[in-house]
Amino acid sequence: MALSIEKIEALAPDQSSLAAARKLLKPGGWPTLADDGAGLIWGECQGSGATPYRVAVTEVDAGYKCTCPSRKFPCKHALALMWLRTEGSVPFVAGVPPQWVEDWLGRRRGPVAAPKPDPDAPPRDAPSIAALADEPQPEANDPAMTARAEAQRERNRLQREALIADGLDALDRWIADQLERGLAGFDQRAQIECATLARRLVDAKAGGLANRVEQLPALLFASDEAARGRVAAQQLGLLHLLASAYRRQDRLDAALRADVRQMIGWTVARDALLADADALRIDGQWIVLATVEEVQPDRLRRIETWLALRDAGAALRFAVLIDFVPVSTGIGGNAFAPGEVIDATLAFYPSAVPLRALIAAQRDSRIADGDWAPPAGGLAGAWAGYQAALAARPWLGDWPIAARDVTIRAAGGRLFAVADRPDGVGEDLALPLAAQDAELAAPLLDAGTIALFGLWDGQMLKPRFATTPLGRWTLG
Amino acid sequence: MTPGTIIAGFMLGTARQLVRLEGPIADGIAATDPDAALRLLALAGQALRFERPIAPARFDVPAPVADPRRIVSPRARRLLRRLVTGKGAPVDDAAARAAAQAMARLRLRPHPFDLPRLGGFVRKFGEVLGPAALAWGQRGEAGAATGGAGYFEADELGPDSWTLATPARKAGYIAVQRATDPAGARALVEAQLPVERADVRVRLIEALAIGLGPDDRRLLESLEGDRAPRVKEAAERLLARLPGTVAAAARVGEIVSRIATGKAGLLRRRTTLALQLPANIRDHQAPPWVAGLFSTVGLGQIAAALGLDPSDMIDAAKEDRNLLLGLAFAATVERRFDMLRAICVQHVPDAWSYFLARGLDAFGLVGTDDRMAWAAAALPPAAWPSLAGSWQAETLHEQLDGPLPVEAARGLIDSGLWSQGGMGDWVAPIAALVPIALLPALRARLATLPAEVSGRALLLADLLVELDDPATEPATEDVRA
Repeated sequence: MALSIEKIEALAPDQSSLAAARKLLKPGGWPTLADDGAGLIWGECQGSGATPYRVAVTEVDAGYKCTCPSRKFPCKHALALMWLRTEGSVPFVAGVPPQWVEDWLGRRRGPVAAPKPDPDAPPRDAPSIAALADEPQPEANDPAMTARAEAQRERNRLQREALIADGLDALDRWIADQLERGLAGFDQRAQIECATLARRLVDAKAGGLANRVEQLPALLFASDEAARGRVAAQQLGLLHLLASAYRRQDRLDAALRADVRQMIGWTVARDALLADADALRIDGQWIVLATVEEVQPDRLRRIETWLALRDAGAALRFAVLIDFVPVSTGIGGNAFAPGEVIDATLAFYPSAVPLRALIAAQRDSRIADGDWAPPAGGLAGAWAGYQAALAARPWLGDWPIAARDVTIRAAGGRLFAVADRPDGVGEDLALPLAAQDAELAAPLLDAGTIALFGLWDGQMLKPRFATTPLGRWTLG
Repeated sequence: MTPGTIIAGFMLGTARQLVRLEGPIADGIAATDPDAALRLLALAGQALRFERPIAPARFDVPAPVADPRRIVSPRARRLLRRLVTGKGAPVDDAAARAAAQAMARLRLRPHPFDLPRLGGFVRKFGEVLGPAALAWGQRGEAGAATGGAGYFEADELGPDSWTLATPARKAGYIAVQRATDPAGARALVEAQLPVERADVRVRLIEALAIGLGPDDRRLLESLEGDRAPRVKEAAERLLARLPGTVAAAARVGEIVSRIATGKAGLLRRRTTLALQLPANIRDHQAPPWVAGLFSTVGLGQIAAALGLDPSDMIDAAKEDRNLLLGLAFAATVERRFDMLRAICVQHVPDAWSYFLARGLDAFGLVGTDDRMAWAAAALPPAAWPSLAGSWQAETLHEQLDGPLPVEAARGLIDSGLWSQGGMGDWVAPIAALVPIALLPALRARLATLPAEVSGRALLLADLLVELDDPATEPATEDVRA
C-alpha cells in the first residue's frame, strides 16, 4: 500500500502535528532524501539542534522511526517525510539503506497501524491537511513593537550582568573560604558545599559556572584519592580565573571575550550564529570520531559529536557538535555513529580556539571507506597542540588528542597511550587512560601500533576511536 | 616554588599556613592584594595543566595469547552482540549456547574488540570460543593461566599438554583418544587420577565409557577403594556394563529378582513381565528409582538372565510402563538404539524426558555420536507433544550439546506444538535445537508467530546462517550494535 494524504491524516496525532510538518516541507531543510526502490524511504531533516534528525519510513505499512525527542508519534519529521513522498514534488535519490536504517529494520516488531480510536474518548476533529489552508498567517513586524522588545532585552541584559557580578563575588568568597579551611579534605565536603554554591550561581544567572561547580564532586571522585587535592586546587583556580576574566572582559580580544561569556552562561542562538557573516566556516568532509553523552545537573542530556576534517593535510582540524535534550523525554543516543563521514559546512561559535560548531549546510552522509589516521606527528605533536590551545584558551575543556604510532601499554593496573619508539628515539610521553574506559580499551593492548583519538581532560585521556591492524575500535 | 609545592601549600589551609608569594609564578602578586591567594592558586593550577604526566618507569610485558581461529564477519558481529547483549538478552540460554557451538564447530572466534561487551557470554562459553576468548573470560580469576602459554585450542592438546587444560577439556581429550587408542587413553587416565581432585576424576572415568572393554576392568576395579564416593559410583557404573564382572552380575540379579513373570491370553498364552516396585516407592517416584536400577546394565544382559529374546522381552513388558522405561534405559546403556526406538515409538513416547531428568551422562552417552544416536532413537515425532515447557527444550539442548539430528528436528518442526497457544519463551530454545539445514523450514514456522515471540529465534537463525557462510570475510571494521 503506497502512502497517501489520507493515510498521513489518519496517522497524525493532531492538527498541530500536521501544521508543524507542513513547515518542514522545504527541500532545503532535508540534506538527505532517499529510497531503496522497494518501499523504504529515509531522510535527514535539519532541526534546531546541531545535528540533523534521521527519519525512516516503510511505505507498505507506514512504519516510521525518527531520532528527534518529540513525544508525539508519529512526529512532525516522519509526517513531513511521508508528505514529501506522497506529493512527489521533491526527488528521492535511489540508494542503499545506510546502517542506521538497517539497524531500525532489524529491530522492528511488525507493522504499525493507525491507532484505534478510543470509544470512550470525546469526539475530536480529525487532523486535516486541507484545514491548514485556513490558518491565519502571522502579522508583519511592527517597528514600535520591535523597539519596545529590544529595549526590554537590553534591560534584561543589564539586570543579568548585575546578578552575575554579584554571583562572581560570591564565588570568590566561597573559594577563599575553601582555601582557608584547606583543600586536603575538600572532597569530603564538596557535595554539600558545591550544591550550595551552584544554587547561588543559578540564581545569579551564571548557569555555565553553576554546572561546572555542580560537576566538581563527581570529577573529584573519578580521580585517584591521592590526586584529589591537586584536582580540587586546579578546578577552584580555574573558577577564579573565569571570574577574573569575566570582570575584565572589556580588555580581552573579541574571541576570548566570547569564550568567557559562554563559559559563564551566555548562549549564542543558532540563528544568530548562522546569520553572523564573520563566523568561521569550514567546508569539507568531516568524519565522526566519537559521540559522548552526559546528563548534566540541570537535567539536560548533553550529546557531543566529535568530528575531524578528513584529508586536512598536515593540519588537524576538529569540531564538536553539542546538542541538549531534556532527560524527561527519554530520548538518548546520537544521530551519527563513529566512522560516518558528513559532507557539510560547519559554522564555529566564536572562540579563541574554535571547536564548538554546528552544521550550517549538509550535503551527504555515508560510512567512511578505509581507515582514518591523523597526519604524521605522533603523540608528542598532539601534546604540543594541546599546550598551544591551552595557552590560547586557559579554561580549555576536553581537548581532542589524535596521534599515529601509538601503543596501549599497561603498568600498575592502569592503561597508558604511549608513543611507539621502536628505535628508542624520541621523547617519553605516556598519557594515562581514564579508568572507567579501561575495560573496553583493554583489547587494544594486543592491537599493536595504532592511530588513536581521545579526549584529554587535563588528567586522563578518554580513548574514543582507533584505527588498528584489527580494524576500527570505538568506545561507544 | 614550583606549581606543585604551591598547590601543596594550600592543603592545610591558609588559616594555618600563610601563603608564600615566592618564585616566578607569584611575580606581580602584591602581598597586600586581598585576592593574592586566589590568584596564586589560579596561576599555579594553570601551570600544572601544562606539565606532562609522569610516565611509569616500567610497563608490563604479558605473553600474547595465540589464537588461530578466524574472526567472525562484521554482520555476524552485529548479530551476536544483539543476541547476547541486547536489552534483557540472556547470555547463557539455548540460543546463546547454539551460537557458541556454531562458532566452535566453524573455528570462529569473537572479534577481540567485542570481548568486553560480550562479557557474560564469553565467561560462560569461553572454552569453546577459542584461546583468546577463554583468556579474556578468565581474567582475574583464581587459577587462571598467567600469560599466553596457558591458553590453546582443544585440538592442540597432546600427551604432554592435556593435563594443563580445564577439566572439561581433559575429559574431552580422553574421549577423543578412546575412540582410536583405548589402551593409550586408559594409561593417561591411570597416570593422572592420583593428582586430580574428585570431580575431575569422575569426568576422566566417565570418559572411559567410550570404547569400554574388558581391558578396562582392572583399572575400574582398582577404583572401588577410592576415597570419594562419587568416584566409586562412576567406576561401578562402568563395571556393571562389563559382562562377567561381579558388579554386573549383582546388578542384573537385583533387576531380575524384581521382575515377575506371568502368562496372559486364553488361546495363545504369552509371557508377561511386571516390575515390582519397593513398598516405599510411590508411582510418581518410580522413574528415578528405575533409572538408578537400570542405568548400569545392558538390555542383552537382562534378556539373557530372563531367557528371552530382547524384542520378546519388550513385548512381554508392554503393560508395565515402569519396566518399559527401565528397558529403554538398559537399551541405551548397551547402545541398542534400535530397541530404544522401538520402545519409544510403540510404548513410551515421553521416555526421553526421564533420560534428561537423570542426565545423559548417567547412561554413558559422553560423545557426540552417542548423543545424536540416542536423540534419533528417543525423539520420534510422537515425542514432541510431551514437551512440557521451555525448560525442557533448554535442558535437551544443553545435554545434547548441539542441535538435533535432522530427522528428529524435522519431526519437531512438523509437530503440533506450533499451533498451540502460549509458545512464548519456548521458541528460542526450540530454534537452537534445529540444525542449519532445516532453518528455512523453521523460518516458515516462525513467520506464523507474533514478532515479539519469534524475534530471538529469528535473530539466532540469521546469525547461524551468517556464521556458516564461507563467503563472508572476517571482520576488520568496527560495528555498533
